[in-house]
Amino acid sequence: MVDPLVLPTALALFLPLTAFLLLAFSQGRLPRPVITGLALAFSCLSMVAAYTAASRYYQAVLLAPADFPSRAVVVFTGQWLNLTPTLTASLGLFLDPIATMMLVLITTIAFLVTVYSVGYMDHDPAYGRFFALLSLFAFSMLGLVMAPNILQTYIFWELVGVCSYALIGFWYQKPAAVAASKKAFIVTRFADSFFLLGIILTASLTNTFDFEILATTGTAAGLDRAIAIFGHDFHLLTVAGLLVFAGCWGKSAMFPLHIWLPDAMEGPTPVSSIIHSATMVVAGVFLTARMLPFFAGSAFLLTTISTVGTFTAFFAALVAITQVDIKRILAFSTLSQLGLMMLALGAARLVDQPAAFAVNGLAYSAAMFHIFTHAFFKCLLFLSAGAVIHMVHSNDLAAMGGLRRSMPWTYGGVLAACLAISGIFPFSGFWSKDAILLAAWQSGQVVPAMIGLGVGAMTAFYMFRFFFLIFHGPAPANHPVSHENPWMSPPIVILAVPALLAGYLGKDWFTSFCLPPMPIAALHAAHPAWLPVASTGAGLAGLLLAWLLYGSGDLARVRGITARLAPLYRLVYAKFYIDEACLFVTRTIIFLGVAAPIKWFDRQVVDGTMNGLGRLLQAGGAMVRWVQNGQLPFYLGSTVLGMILLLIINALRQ
Amino acid sequence: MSDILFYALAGLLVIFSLLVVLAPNLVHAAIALVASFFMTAGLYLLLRMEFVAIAQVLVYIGGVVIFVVITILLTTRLGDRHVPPTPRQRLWGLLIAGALLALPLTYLDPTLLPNPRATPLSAEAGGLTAIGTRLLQPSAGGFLAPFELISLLLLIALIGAVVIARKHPPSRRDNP
Amino acid sequence: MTLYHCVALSLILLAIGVYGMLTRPNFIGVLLSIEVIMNAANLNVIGFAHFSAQDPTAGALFPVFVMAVSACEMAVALAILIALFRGKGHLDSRRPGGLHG
Repeated sequence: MVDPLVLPTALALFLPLTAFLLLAFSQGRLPRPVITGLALAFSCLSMVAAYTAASRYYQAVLLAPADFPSRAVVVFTGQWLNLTPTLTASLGLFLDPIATMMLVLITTIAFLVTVYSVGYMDHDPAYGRFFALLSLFAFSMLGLVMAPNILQTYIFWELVGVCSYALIGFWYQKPAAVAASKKAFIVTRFADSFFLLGIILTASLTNTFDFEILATTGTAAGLDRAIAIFGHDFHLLTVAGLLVFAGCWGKSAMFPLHIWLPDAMEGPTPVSSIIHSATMVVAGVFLTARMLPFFAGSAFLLTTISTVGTFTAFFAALVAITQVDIKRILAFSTLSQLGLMMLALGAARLVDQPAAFAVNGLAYSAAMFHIFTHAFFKCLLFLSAGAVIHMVHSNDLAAMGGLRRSMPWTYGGVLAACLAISGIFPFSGFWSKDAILLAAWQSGQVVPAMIGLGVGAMTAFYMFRFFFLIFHGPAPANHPVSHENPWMSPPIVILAVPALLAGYLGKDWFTSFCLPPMPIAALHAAHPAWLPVASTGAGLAGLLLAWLLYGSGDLARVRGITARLAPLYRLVYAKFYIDEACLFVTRTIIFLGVAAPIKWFDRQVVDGTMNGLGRLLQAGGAMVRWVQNGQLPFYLGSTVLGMILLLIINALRQ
Repeated sequence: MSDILFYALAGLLVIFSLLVVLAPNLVHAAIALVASFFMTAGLYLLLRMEFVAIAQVLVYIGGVVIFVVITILLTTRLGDRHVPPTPRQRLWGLLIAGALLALPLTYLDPTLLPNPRATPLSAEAGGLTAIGTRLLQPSAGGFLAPFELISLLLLIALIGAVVIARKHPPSRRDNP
Repeated sequence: MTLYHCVALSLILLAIGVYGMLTRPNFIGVLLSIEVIMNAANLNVIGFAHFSAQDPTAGALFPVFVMAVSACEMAVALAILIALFRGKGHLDSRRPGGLHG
């Protein structure tokens, strides 16, 4: 039953790797058309293979649902490491509803971004390197979502981080890009160190890495006991879960590890669109969803997830209102939406039904649904931002205005995406946001649901601020007049379709098919009718406020408000000074306090000892060297003297 | 009678040896060496070793010293300054030589020397016939093998000396 | 004239030769001193051969071989000295000619 799945899945995964190897080992010296052809061909074939695999999976699981109780299919697995006699790590391919969804999503977005990049990176000298890295990223991300065990997930997790580092710092001649790539890598690596601890702890306790055994309520129940750490009792499952969740915390940029994502906008815009909006940053949400049966045993952990998500969503939305760099606005928007996804997963915890290990199934589906819809409209927004930047040669809102006449296709695409992200009926964002709020409401988590509603209003506000300030109003003085790039507009237009329709068409699939492999609690609360009205209303309210303040397309009306709220405005604009705080900790505390003494010790004591030994040897040598003076009588004399001494010693011994 | 001869020869030998080591002029030293070899040959004759005496004269004086004199003439130039040894060198030389002299004499116990033979040595023992027979005797105690090897050694030394001391052709030397 | 006299004489000659070996500023002078030492050694052997050796013929032959080897050695040494003189231009044993460390 699974044999027809092997070939398309393997092709979908390894075609991007082949593209990477070809492009990398030719060191980008192939002619431009060849690189373009290779990149487009391989990503298109990978997409086709992914669709084939998805359709075959769907058929297989639908035809014989009894064979696949949790709808999980192990396509291929091979033994890799025998760590202990009972613990084996393997590498392979694994499909379940969310993996299949991500497979389709990643390959589609990768193909569209590749098409877009042909136009965007046209003038860049490192053309070949870009497509090589993009293909490597596609391979890594696919390997991550199709991993059958948590160790393989970790491997591809790190690989994705490396690709992100390489792509953020793609223009490595810019110091800002280098600093941003380092920041991204270090922050996510910091989180991943805890992730690795969690993997090791979990694997040693449960003797398995495989999700099919690990991410189940039975395994989690086995860890439902207390453990003593430094004399205090902790719940073992919570500790293990928190450690594993730490990786998701960093990768999905939850507060306070969000600091790397706005800076990651230093990379080229196609990179921002695929990595930092649609695919890589949702890896954290994806893994949390995968491990939900495991995490569900700890109410504390689910509460943490929900709180962190809610706070990040609100915080990021607040900061996004004040930003003037269009990519930063989108970055904070991504943070906010990621927060909503985490909120959704945290909503799996049922407040008034603390039955062990039963969750609200809608929470899982809602989070995955939002990943799906968010990918399309966020990618669309970034691609459009790239088109705008390409046209205006600046990221700043002040340099933009009145672009709707010169960029009609982009205008339409952004309008569609803004309507979608604001959660306005009947566009895609409405359905997924509604599902999230409904899940939170049904689980009894009222506060997150209310905050989520508020975040929806704020989202609509800042997105339409973005929209009006770019496309409406008077054009600035030195407005360039050019046309839209023929490679960049089609993906924008193509993405507008799912941005508008994906929600309406896909909601039933998500709520019925995409469910976690664990007991689903039966919920008594019906779908409150006021909830979708409230969420659309919040979106419309935000839109209206944005139109009132920014509809004219410039900042004239808000200057008064900004002046009156100046201190608060500065605080929010500076992202609450969190970056500065982190820099302070790094520079003053870690560099001066910890690193400098260690450096002193290494230079003076360790190196000093070695140098001292060397100098000692040199001095010893100098003391002995005078014997070799080249004087023959001296040599002869020493020979005879030695002989005499031997005679004396011999005589004395008798 | 033989005592007087012995002391005379020994004294002259010592004097000439001192001349060898002390004479600043190398040719003087070489001539003094010749004289000391003659004295030694006389001492050998006194000790009833005629063959060795003749060999001493022929080989040493007739071969080695001639060679030394030729080399001296080849390697010194007229007007070479004679730099005498420094006092420090002389001191060390005296110390070491004195140690070499004094220590065995101090520890040399005449009673440890092997007993002299009852009858004095006959002339035949060191004579030509005995030596010749012994030299060519192939069995144990014979010196046939060393005799043959010595001839080989002489050949090697001859060729080696020629090779080392020959003038190398200028073309090979001048190539960088 | 006893064995003791011969041995003493050879020791005196040895000391003289060693003194010359250590003191002489010229390489050839060193070689001459070495000849004196060998002479002393031969005298020693002949003395023992005459006075108390079991096998006096062998005692007589030994210095003969010493003489032969000494001749070879002097030949090679003098050839080396000639080559050395050609290279350095002098045969002063106290001037370092590259042997020092």
